Amino acid sequence: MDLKTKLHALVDKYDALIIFLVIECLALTAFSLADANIIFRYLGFLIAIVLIPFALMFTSKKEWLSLGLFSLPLIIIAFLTGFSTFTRDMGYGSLDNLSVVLGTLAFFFLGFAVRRVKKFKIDIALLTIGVAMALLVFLSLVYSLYQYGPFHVALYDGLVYYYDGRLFVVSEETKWLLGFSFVEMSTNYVTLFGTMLSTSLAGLLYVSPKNEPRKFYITLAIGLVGLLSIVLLPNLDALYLLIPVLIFALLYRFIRSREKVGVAVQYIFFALLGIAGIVLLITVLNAANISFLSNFIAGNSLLNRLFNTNRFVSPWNEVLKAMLTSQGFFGFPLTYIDGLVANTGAFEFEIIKEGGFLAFLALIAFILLVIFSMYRYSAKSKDASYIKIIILTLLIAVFLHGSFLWNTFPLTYTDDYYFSFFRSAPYLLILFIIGYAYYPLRGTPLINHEAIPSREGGEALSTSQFEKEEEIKL
Amino acid sequence: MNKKSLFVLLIVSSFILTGCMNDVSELYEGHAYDTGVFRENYYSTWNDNLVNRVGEVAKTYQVTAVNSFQLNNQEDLENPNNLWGNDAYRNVETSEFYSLLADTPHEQTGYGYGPSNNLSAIDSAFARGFLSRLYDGRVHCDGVTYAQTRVQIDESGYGALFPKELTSYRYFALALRGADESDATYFNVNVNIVVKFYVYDHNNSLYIPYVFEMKDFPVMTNSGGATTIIGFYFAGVMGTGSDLDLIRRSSGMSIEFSLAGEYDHYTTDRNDADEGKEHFALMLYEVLLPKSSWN
Repeated sequence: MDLKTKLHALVDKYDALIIFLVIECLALTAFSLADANIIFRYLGFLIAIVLIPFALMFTSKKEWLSLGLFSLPLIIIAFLTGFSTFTRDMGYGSLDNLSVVLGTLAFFFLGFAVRRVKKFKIDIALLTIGVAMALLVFLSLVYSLYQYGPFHVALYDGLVYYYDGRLFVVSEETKWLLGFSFVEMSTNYVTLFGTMLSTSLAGLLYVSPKNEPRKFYITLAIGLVGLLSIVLLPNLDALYLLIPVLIFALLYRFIRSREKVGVAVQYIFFALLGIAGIVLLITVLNAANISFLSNFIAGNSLLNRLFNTNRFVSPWNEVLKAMLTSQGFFGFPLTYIDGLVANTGAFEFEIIKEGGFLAFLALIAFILLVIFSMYRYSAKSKDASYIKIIILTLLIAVFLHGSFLWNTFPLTYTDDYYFSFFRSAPYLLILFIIGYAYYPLRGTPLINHEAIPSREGGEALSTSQFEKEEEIKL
Repeated sequence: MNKKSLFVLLIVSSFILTGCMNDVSELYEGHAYDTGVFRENYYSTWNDNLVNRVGEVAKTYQVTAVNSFQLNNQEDLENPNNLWGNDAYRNVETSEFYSLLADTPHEQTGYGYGPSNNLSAIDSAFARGFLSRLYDGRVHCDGVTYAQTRVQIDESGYGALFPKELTSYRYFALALRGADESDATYFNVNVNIVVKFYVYDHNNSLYIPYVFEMKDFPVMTNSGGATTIIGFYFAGVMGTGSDLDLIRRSSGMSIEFSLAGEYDHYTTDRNDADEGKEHFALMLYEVLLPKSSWN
């Protein structure tokens, strides 16, 4: 029995078990059981190892190459968010840091590889993630309503209370189940989970309550728990960020002649991407204190407001300035107080603190690759539209929320417990989904190729044969 | 909607609608009692029950220099004539005393006297509310939180219910200093302080006060962040007989004061606008009931 036959036998025998383990791992991560992300990362890594045969069986050599190039920025991110000046100074511990490296790569690989398991159904995985996270959010929401009542953020806006002799603003916090107890947590942190759940409502645009009542009502319940967790506070910033997600979902669903609007949308998209790139470049050069540029910006009131004195950019500048020093290149040491406490609210800039300049560049590159990959996934994948719209809106929602409302010190009573986006449960889940929806930038994945016969019958198309037929390049 | 869903919805709704809303029961606009204007910062809140449902004073105890202690510095803390037994030690075996100066809550627990004996550390129920300033372990101004550390009272003082009932107790102490609006600094003013513990009488639905009159204690005034700690052992004042059990199950406490000496130029009434009189206030930093237990 050759290796390929052995692998086939292995795959056929254990695929149900593997799917169960993956779903279990996702559910535990989504529920953040005991806040034990380190365990989930290692668990994900172990399951990822088991999935290697599946990936080997159903991925062509060129796909591997494409995947390798796609993953390169993620590998850099994984290593630098795991081991950097910042993580050393924070004293996370080598086991924890190693889990970040392995977990980051593993959850991405889990998504990629589990898609190659024939019995795997992404809608089940998404519903599992949704139900587990909805349970976490629901428990927190009920306790929060019990302690504050509904709409406490609006009703008691700016009012303070005293705890342990210190003053706190009641409208900035809510209750959150962390580990095995409820804690006071920033509303922005909590509503990230609500935002993620809310995106499931987009899936309802493709589900009929008459034809698929069970799927419809479960999806509705998950989405409503998420939406209510935001509305009943309410967190208006989080709601505002859901507007572009809603617009995207409606456009995605109801503009049927995509071919016609496609070109226009592409131009607008690339224009926006270009503007964002130029703004980012100017921001970095300005922070680097390139004299002619800095003076020019400082001398123009509009540019000065845009690049120096508005509430978003000011903390970015703090972090970018610190990044461009010799000590801040691989993440910040704790002595960089200004840079560390600058609340950028954006995971794209928080990575500068945690991983440094290279990690920042890698993250930008990875985001760009993901955008193109998702574009291809949306256009080419045979997944149901219900799945596609949930995945795409989920990624957009997390991107927007993480870019404006991420809070690194969300615990109300403790200001020395740093919450890293890159060590969080939502990050792992997003990596899984990116891995699942990963689509090479050219060509079609082997598993999508209709000519490939089933595992049970016929002779499998050899990788080399397939590669001849389908050119897949990054 | 089927019956099961309706039932769950009803349970959840009733739970929410009858919620305690404990976390929004005591809110303030901005920094409470911390405006920077002396006369605006008096705390004189009395719980309604301690005003309208109070019975006759059951018993009054006199606390004097003989049956009390006063700690002004580390030497006083280490003086065996002040705190009894091992109460001043953080480690009896190595004969290490608590540090009177170290008073950062939580961080200096087990090291500082305040953070090791404060009520919030004994029972977290004391951590919530404006009066948590008096239970947080900061026994003097720490140079970080300033006015957030203290509670400023006039002669009519304040009265509050405890979050739980007192079930066992050893000694009582107050960290405080005096304050007026004058430029004079570091001088003593003698005060009489009346501390009342209220035990709820379930038969008559009244709070019965037990009074401890702490007479003629010199308190440092306008001393910046420096405070004095005055206190007494319940056994030293009430005796070791059956009296000692009288304040068991206390559920409230009040503090009032008056000036003990001839201080004609002072008024201790926050509403008294007599010309030429200085307003005198007590700045309370901590109310301590070390080694107490609560239920």
